[in-house]
Amino acid sequence: MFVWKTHHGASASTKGSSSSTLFFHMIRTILLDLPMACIFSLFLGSLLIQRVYDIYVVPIAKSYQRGTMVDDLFYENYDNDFTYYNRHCGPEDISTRSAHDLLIAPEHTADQAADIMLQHGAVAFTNVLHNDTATRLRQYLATKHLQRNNPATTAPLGYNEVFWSEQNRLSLGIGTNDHPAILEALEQVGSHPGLSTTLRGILGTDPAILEISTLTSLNGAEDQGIHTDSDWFGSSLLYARNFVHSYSLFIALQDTSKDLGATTVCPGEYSTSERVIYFIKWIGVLFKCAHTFS
Amino acid sequence: MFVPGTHYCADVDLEEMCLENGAFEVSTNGYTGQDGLLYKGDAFMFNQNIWHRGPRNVDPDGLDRIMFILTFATAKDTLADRRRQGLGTYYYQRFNLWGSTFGMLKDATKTMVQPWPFFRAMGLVKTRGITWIHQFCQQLANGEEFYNDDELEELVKLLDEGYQLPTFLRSQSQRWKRFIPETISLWVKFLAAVNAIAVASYWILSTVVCLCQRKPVSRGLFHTFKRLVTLLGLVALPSLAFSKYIDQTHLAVSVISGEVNVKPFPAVNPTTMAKYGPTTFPERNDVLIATRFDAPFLASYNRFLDFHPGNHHWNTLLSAAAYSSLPKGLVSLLATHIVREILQYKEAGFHSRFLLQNPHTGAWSILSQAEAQRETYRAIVDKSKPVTGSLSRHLKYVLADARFGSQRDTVMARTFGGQFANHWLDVVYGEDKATESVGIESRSSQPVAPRKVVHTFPYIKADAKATDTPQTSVSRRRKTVERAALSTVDPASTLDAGNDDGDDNIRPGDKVWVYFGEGEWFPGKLVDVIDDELCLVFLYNRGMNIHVDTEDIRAYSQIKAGDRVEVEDVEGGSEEFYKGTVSHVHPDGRCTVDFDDGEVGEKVRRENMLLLLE
Repeated sequence: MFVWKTHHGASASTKGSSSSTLFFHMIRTILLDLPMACIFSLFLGSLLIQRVYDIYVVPIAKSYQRGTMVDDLFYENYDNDFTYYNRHCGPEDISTRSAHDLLIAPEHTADQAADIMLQHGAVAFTNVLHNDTATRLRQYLATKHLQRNNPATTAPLGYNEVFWSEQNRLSLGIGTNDHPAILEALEQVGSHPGLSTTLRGILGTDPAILEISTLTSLNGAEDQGIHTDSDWFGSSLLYARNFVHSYSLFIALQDTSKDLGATTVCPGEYSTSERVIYFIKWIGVLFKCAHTFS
Repeated sequence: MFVPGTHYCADVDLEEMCLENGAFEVSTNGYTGQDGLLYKGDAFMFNQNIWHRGPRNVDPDGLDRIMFILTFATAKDTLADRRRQGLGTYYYQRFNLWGSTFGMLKDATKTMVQPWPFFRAMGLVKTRGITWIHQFCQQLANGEEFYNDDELEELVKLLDEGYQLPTFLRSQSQRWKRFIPETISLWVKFLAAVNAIAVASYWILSTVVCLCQRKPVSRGLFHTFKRLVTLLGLVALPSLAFSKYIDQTHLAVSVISGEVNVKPFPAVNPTTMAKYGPTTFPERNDVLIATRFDAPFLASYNRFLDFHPGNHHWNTLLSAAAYSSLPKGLVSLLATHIVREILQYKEAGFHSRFLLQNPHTGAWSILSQAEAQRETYRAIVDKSKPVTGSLSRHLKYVLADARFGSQRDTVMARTFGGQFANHWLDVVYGEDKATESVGIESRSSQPVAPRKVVHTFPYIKADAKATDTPQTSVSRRRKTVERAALSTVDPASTLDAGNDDGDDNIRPGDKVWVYFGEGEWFPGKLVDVIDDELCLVFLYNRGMNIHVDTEDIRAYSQIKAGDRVEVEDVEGGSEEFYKGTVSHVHPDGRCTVDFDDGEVGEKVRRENMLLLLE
């Protein structure tokens, strides 16, 4: 610590000495103390990282270990954790033949929207993004595709921009501040009443975000194989208290024609006992009438 | 492409089933009549367990199809919530977006700008979101994407060639789990050495300066010591404070308290499983009564079983009966009718049953008709009286918390939690406990003797055509059919028996095992018996009809604990059958079998068992 000391009426030589002391202390602070502090900070930082890794990360990682799989079917760790059962499906389990059954209407309550999601596993929304926002976001992403496809002529994409790619498919990770259209799009997603109501019904208040990215089927892409995103042997389907149930929202940034890769659903429906419903309703109506007149 | 409803399916592969059963596409310009959806700005949201696929793109104008994606899950803001992300799912998002929540999007220009996203991602500020640390730990622990060996190889290459990092500053290990701690350790050692050298140099330099200035060395060194202590202390204090702060974070508390290692359900001793009563494997048309959900953090999944096909049927009937002003007697009458209707409903050769999941083991056991009526009565009351429904829901939360919550090992939870909740549930439903049938909690705590169930043993026989059964055993599968032919028919079969038509045939429409492909048995449905040797069978997971030799079809039966079976020695490869008794049916479809010779077979597959009439 340097303390500037001057004395009224000090001699010229004393003044010169004070100046040189000040200079000396400045040099010492800049050349010795600051680097020393930086080096020590780095050391403490590394110790802190090591401590956090050993005390917190390792136990959490250990708790996440799946263990071994038996018969290529199930992980032993989850043997006692079933909340459903190992169900195999056929065509009768496909729940609707119309995509319009998946549509969330403005008048739907949170529970009704959740019912649609629980029954069909998918819901649809209209106008999540404004037309011009979708256009601008698409234009921005198209420039990123150009960057990715022409590395020789344009600056390459950053290490955290391309998350996944295979032939004619590409997933980009986007930062909120990369382009104004991204923040605008996020705000529109957050303000969409139907989506907000549906998420509240499905996931409760203020759900967590697990993914903000894009997915592009480049022209010429082939059909993917039909798959699930979560493995059935390690998901909320069989183990609701072990794994979170998560939902992906795909927002179209262009009109999606059949050639461009339209969304596909399969037919099917549940059956019910009309005869008994009729009987029960008849009893109910009869009783209501009696109740009204009494 | 989505296949609605398939988020309830635990199949290995449903591709053929979906494609063979009229999958149709939804587009803006119409395709198979489904137009008007997915215009610019429209969106689909789907459960990640649903079967789907990315479509082809053959747009004649050469357009790319670009989708903007957000994925959501329940906020994780309670230690009682021990759930993690599903296996096989890879979420693509920048590091600093972890920890964000839906509520932040509305005002993204303020909430999603630095530095808060960084602190949220690291779990350093209170967030309801899921932190990057959780994502990192899960992927690291299981060598998932971003943390597999290939990725490490690429990182090492980048460090060596891109950043010219000296090799002594990184681990030589080829495994992430060792690479990271070893590299951190090397850096700590390196920086400790650098600091030691720096301190020594500092002192030497101070000494030299003192000598040059002709000042006393001891005084100079003392001054240097004071200066160093002050300097390093000033640097160390914030670090210590930061370290203490980290210890207070939600993430750290979950580790320190041990919550992170607590399993969602208490361990069960396999030898005591039998005391919980006879277990069975659910079928599509069974009504499933849940006991393992009931937590606020599960949100809509508390109603997950409502859309199981059997429950959907039951719920439709319940909704029709939900009149708020019905007297108790009439509700009981309706419950009786609904239960009868359900029990008489038949699908694929089996009547519907009411199954209760044991909260301790997760296994399913068959409810008696009285118990089914009680559950149905309660469900009608829940639906018709919202206040009662809400109260009972919260009492079920209390009951589930006593069983599975963080205090589940305390005396209070074990002794009184269940009793308290069950007592008040009885009060809410206006039931007199003394006169009611056995409740959920008492059922699970009292040994229940397996009920005697008489089975028929169905086998393939064309109704009008086939009069002969195979006479010789030429293969192990042929042996199955022959054994079936030796079975006798008991007309007194019960509702929950394997096949209760009063004869021993498998009829068209009945569920069967089919030997198909590379030596595996798959569930299917008999469509038609062509002749004595050939049948037409619908294979569930292929979603198509196939012709199969009669000898490649095996009766599908609803196996229950207590059933006598013969088990094929598949592992031993001897193709011998051994007699035993099923002691437990696991929800994954496998069984524990107590063999007559004293051995115990764990996790025996149902398709390798033959049901016996004795």
